[in-house]
Amino acid sequence: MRPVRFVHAADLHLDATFGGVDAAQGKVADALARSTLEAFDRVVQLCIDREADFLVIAGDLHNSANHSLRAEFAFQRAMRRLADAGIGAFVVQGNHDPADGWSAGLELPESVVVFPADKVERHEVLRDDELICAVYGWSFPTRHVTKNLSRGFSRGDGDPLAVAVLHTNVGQREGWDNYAPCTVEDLRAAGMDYWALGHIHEAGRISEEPPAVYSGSTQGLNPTEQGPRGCFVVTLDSDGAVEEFFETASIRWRVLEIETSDLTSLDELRGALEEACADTRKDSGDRSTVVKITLVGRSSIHEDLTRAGLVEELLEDLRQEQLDIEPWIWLDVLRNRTRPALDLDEILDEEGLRGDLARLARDLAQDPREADRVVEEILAPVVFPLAVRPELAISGEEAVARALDLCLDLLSREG
Amino acid sequence: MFLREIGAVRYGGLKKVTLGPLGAGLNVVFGRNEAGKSTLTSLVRHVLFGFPRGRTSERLYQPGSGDHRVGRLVFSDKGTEWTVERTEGVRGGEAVVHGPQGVEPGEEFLDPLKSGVSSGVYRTVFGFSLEELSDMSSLADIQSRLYATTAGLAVNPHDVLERLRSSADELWAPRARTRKIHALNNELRSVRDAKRELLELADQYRSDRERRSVVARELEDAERALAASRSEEERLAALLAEGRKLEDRMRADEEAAEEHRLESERAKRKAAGLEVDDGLLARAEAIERLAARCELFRADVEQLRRDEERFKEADADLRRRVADMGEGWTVDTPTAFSLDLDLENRLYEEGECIRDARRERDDSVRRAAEARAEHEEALRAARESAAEMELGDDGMIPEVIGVRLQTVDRLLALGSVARSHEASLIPPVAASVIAAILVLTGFILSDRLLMVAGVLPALLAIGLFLRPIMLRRRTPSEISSLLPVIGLKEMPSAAKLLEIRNRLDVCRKLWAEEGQLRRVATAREEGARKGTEAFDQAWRKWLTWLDQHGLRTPSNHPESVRRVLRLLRDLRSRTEGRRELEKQIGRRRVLAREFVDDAVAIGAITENEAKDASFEEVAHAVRSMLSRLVGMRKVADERRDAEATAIAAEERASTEIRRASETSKALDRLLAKSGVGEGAALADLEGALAVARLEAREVEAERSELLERRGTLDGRMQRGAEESASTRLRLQETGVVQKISESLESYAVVSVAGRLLEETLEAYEAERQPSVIQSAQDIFSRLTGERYTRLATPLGRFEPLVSAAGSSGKPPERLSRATAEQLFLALRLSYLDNLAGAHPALPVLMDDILVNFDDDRRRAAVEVIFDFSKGRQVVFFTCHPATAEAFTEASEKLTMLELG
Repeated sequence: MRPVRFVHAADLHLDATFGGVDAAQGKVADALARSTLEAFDRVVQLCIDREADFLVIAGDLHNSANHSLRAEFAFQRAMRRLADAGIGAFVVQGNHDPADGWSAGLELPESVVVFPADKVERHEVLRDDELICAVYGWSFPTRHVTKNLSRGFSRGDGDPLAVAVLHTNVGQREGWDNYAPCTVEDLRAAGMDYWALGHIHEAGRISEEPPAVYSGSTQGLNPTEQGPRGCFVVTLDSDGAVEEFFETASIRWRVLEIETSDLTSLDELRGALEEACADTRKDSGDRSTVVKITLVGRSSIHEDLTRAGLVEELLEDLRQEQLDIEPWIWLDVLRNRTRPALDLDEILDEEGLRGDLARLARDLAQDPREADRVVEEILAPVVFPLAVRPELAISGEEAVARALDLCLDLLSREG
Repeated sequence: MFLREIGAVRYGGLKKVTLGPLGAGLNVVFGRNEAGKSTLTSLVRHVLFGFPRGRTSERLYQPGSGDHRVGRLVFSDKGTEWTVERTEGVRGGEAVVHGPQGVEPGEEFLDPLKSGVSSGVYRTVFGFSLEELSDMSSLADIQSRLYATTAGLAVNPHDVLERLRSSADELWAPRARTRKIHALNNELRSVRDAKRELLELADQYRSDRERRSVVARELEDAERALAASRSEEERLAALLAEGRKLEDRMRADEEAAEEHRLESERAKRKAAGLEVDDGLLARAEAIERLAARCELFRADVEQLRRDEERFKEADADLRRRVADMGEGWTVDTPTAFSLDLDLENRLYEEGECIRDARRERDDSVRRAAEARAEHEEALRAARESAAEMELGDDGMIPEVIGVRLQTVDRLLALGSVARSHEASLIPPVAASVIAAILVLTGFILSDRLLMVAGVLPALLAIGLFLRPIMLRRRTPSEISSLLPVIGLKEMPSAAKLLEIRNRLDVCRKLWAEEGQLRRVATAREEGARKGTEAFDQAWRKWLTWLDQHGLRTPSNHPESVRRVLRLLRDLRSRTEGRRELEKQIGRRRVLAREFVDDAVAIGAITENEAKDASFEEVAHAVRSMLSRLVGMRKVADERRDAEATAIAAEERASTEIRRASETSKALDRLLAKSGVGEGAALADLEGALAVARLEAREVEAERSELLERRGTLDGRMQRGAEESASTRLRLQETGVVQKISESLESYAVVSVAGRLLEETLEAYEAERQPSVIQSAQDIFSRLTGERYTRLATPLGRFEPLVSAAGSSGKPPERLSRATAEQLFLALRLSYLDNLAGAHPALPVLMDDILVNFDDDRRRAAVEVIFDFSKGRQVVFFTCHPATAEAFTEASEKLTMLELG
């Protein structure tokens, strides 16, 4: 009998909100707005092209908080396509699209199974009226699920092959919300042939026995989600599972740091930036890329870069240039974190004002809590009336270091 | 290095004034008022930094003459001097320096000298008068520089602090509304408001969908009711329309029947009024046939006329041509000639024979004439040649030439012998010399054999001498006998004889050629005679042939005979044409006659009329008859049509009456079918239809309202389904949050930087009074005789406070004038002491700054200045002898100069 073949996708976040990007340009904004939907289209097309027996979606199909009709309609259209092709779909709901979340309640084809939120449910997959596989799943009833849902899974006796679909943080991985936490042992106890997992956006197999796989997000949603994003085509039989990764993202993310210590002029800096863009383009194949660049290092061009508007002009110029080349690159941010070409140790030993300043800053930075307090104290009246409480990427220690650089730079210039 | 000399070449009121030599330390220049002390103080600065021009508050020191300003400074270092001279010009004027390396650009020398010191700073702290010393505002700059310098910086940290505060303020300020972070916050609020609206739109979708289901069901009911109403309305409308049609048709049928009856009566009346000539119509076929021939008959008659004309012309032409052929020729003569092909061939052959004979004769006669002309030419040339040689008559000339040639040849032979004898003296002489040598040699050597050998050459020499003498005796007599033969008396030279021989040879060749040509001419003349005879014989034969065929012509030339033959052929052709034309005219006349007979037969013309009528009149009569026939046929047709119309109209009237009856019955059936009631009329049906329409309109209005409600819901749901603005808004929101985050970071960094610097400055100023203030305090204390022992200032702001022991600080404006000037002098000197970057050769010039000091203060000031001059050259100008004296008393180590 031909092995069971299915596509495992998760964390599609259709019509999602992108984090940490300033897509002021229409072309980029449009592409970003389309990207999650395009990625899903590719998943569906992959099912059709590879003649998959079914599709599993391991949660976070969309962000219900967005109330996006566009996403629900896109899902409805995609499911109709799959139904027309005779391919079923098994969907669990995750923390971003829990069962109690907002939904427009669109009708889906009968071939689509959305697993219930109150228990594990089993569904059979037939080929020529013969049972070839059973699919088990359990949706999130609400956003914050702390219960170990994996313990509710148990393979049926007559299942020729069993696939479990779950949105979970296996092993309580750091950096990710600890929803439906479980362990590999929990998974093993269920006796499944394949665990199709969602929630962690990094793709990869986390367990060989049983095969437990995160397919990752189908489209990178923020600068931390660099590299290829997609889904797996899984071939499953009694000998085990084999996954084949397929990239579905339209746009890649890239975060770059450019060391400027050796650069002596703005021309050289521009050359380095262009080279970084060329390397990025080479890496991303035919995909467009959103790039964030941070200039670092103590450099002689630091003073030039602190001239009002220069970095913005350079960014604007490069943006236009890189947007005109296909596949385009959107230079989202060009952050100047260069430092003046000063010897801090030498200044710390100075008797003058600069020495006093450097020592004061050093003392403050050595007490991170105090440094954080100073920053919080400074920002408190600023943040209070704001409509948002942005998460700052800067620590008190870093703020003090940058402040010292700024002071020393200004004090060391000619009057 | 120090300033050695100050020179005013042309500057203000000074011209060619030099101050010097100056010393490296303290220099006191005494000069009365208006001697030029202030002028020289300014001059030093202008030579160093350039002459000011245009709008400036400072005095320009233009020379009264209007000339350019020129100043000179001489610097000295260990005996080497550099003279810097600046002349007024663009950008302050050009400076040149004369140094040990020759002339160089002045700025290259001056730039390191002025390093770190601007013109303003120099004016404030290096070269100042009493007025500038007391200028508070000028000290602001000094203060700032003092602070930076003492803090080991190039900029005033308070300026930096201000800049940081300004940067922070651009990002955010309490109670402000337009800073960057405020603007971003406002943008974020508006984006979120827009996003909220779209969220509400999405939220409505579900309830809209339910409302739409209800509306859809109601709409279905309304659609059904509307369909029923419309169906009834349509049924009644269709019946009414059908009824109206039937009613209209019935009325139309009745009207048509009446119309047809009237039409029938009109047709009958018309038919009765029309008369027809049946006899004429009976002959119609014959008339039409003859009329159809009319056009052909007219053409035949015209052709007959033309043929008759042509016959007349041809006959006259033929008769004229026959007459031209000569007497005895008639119009029938050409036809009597046998102009067959054989005759023509024979004529051609005979003609060719005559032409060939004539050509041969002409050619031979021409060649004979040419040969004779050539002979005549050769004879003339030969005779001329003979005449030149005087060779006598023609008949003997060849023989005379032969004799003369032999004579010339003999004379040439004789002449040759004589010349050979004259030329043979060399051999006998040579033989004699050889003999003499041999004999002499034999005699000297006493060799008899040699002497005997010398005898043989001697004998040979004698023989050679004697031979020409013998020959000469025989030659002259023969020559004398030969010379008359060639007509000469003396023996000519061999060249002359050779010339005579050549001419004789040419003459002989000409006579030989003449003989040759004479024979050729004679032979050709014989050929010409034979050619002439042959032609005459052929001509006679030709004439005989012409006579045989009667073709003689005046010239009898073959061409003329051929022309006659062509004329004959032409005449015969014309004669035959004339006969043919004559036959054709006859045929046409017969045809015309037949036409006239036919016209009489159909009655177009009577026999009597036909006799006198022309062919044209007959044709006209036939055509008139045809016109009459056509008219009669029309009348007959009209009568027939009217009769037929009357019958048809009667039939139609009957049909229409029948149909109207049937339609009336159908209308009755329709009204019965409509259900409006027994015996109803169309008006009742109309009433029923109006009621049905009213009902349909009400249902329609209800349906429209439902449709509108459904459209509204659909539109809203569609917008929700298709909207992509929320995605864009979320992206925009992300971007704004990102910017706010970055701005907050920037604000945090700038603010922390401001705090750090502020704290550092507070501690710095509190704990460490800058050395420059400390130094100024020391100087001020010395100047005031330690009356004031403390000088302090928050140097970020210029608020110097001086205090005596145990008293509070006083600002400068609360000090006496002299004490304030002491303070300002102390600050300047302290600044100069701490100005590490300034070149030591840059001199300090003070213009009578101690005038307000009493003796104690002056003495103290002199001492301080003297101490200062140990580190930097000082030129102190004064017009007060007491001041000069105070300096002299303080130390002898000074240079005292007098100005003016």
